[in-house]
Amino acid sequence: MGDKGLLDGMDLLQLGRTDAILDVATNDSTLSDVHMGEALEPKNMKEESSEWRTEKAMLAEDDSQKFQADERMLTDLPYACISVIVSNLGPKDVARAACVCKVFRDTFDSDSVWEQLVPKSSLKVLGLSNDRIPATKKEMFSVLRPYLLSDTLAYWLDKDTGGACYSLAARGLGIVWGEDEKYWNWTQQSGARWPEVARLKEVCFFHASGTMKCILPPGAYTLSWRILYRAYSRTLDGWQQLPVEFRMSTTDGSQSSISHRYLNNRSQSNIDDVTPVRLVDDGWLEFDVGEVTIKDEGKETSLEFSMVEIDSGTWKTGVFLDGVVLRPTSLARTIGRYLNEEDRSESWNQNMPPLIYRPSNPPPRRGPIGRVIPIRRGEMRPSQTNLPRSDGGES
Amino acid sequence: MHFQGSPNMAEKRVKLISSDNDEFEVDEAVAFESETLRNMIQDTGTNVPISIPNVSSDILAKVLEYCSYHAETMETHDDKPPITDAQIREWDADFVDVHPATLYSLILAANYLNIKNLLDLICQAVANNIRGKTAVEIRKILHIQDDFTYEEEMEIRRETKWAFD
Repeated sequence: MGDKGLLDGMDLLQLGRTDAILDVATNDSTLSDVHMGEALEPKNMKEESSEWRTEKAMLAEDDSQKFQADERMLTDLPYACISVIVSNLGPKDVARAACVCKVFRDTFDSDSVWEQLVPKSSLKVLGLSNDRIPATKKEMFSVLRPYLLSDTLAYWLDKDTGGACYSLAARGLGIVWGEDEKYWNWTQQSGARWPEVARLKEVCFFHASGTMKCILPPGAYTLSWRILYRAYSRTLDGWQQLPVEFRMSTTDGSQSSISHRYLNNRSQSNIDDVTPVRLVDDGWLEFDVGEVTIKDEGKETSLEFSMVEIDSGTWKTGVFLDGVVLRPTSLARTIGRYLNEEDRSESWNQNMPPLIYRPSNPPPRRGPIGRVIPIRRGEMRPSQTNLPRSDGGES
Repeated sequence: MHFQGSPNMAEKRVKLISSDNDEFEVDEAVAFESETLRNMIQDTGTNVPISIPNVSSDILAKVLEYCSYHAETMETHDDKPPITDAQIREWDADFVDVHPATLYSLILAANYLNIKNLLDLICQAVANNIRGKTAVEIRKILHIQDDFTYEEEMEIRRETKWAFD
């Protein structure tokens, strides 16, 4: 955690609070509940106010903060200049600057600044899913962190850069045998962006694919599959013979990419088109499977993508799917770190928490003090004996 | 004070007078970096000195330093290698490494004289000092007076809490 970009708009999804997100979009009081948790804590206003004054007085003592009488101040600048300054900032920094002084706060409140930060296409995206268009762009921005367009498709603007992003949940993918408990099941996993992730129990025919319709500002966008597995563990099996094939294309066929990668991160040297992989939070990996260039902001682009390994005939295990994310390429590059060849000498995610199977449906049973009671072994593993240990252990 | 713009071309010189009544003489190409001066010169010619009543001598000197450097980068000389973009960026970075009060004066001058590149450069420098910092740090670095009441500060903090997560 803590890598730049990880704290983007998907925090709420990570908590699995999909209901809360929907409320955010429609109910302002919930919005404040979600974002202003601290403000809800009862505090002694008087005490806090006097602390604040003391703090201010101490800062005023600071010599470097003394102002010369004839000195030019930020407040001397015309609004046009202030807005040029602010136009260099992303949403997060505009908000941070707003806490500095009234001049910046006024830009924060101004629609013209948010008009630059919120892409025109955002209105169109929201229009697709909801009739309620927020009154101001600023209000709209708060709604866009993140906005569920459907149960499995989220849209948000990155807080740092303002870049528009989409994510499709694993539930929104077409996974062959995905609804068959014998082969796949659905679980919660820490670090996942969506409340439910697909856990591969065992399958020979690995085929996951999806489509996504998006409206985006012009630019280059990278599609990434979010995958979790424990490298060099016996839970990860069956992937040694052949690399996984990732394909992505626009539905009209004008842009397409194809790449391959061995999942266990063994040497990829016999592959020409190795899929770049980034290690992100909690051991999750993002496979950057292709780039799409958007030229027309007003036009909907339809993407098709797949992750396939059906040729080796081996039984494959040990993989979790969180879905796919589409982000501006410049933003995707800054999230996590790329895995390189050196990473294969040691298990690069050795320190990740053990993969514990927590079924999402039905919800985990809770004990009297709210502790999650582990599910009995028999329940999580039907009779097969060749299945990996469900706790991801290496015994 | 004299600024050299294009030594090769025997060009017209332009006289500028600052708010402290100092006279500056520059090549026309240097003055042309400013849209405002370009329009004035096109209207009145180069014979009459142009008075710039709201820009002080030290700031005008700095502005003309910027203009003459950037006018120079536009030219090609057979005997000298062209100035690279990296060199220009380095020069620009040095140029904006000044006290915030000077930055604000430069913004006002660039705005009045309509020198878009200079205005963008300095506004970007100010923005760079905001990025990723706390309100207290920004006030200190950019020499900004805190003008919030307690209630106002609490209100804006509440509104922007999402940016501090």
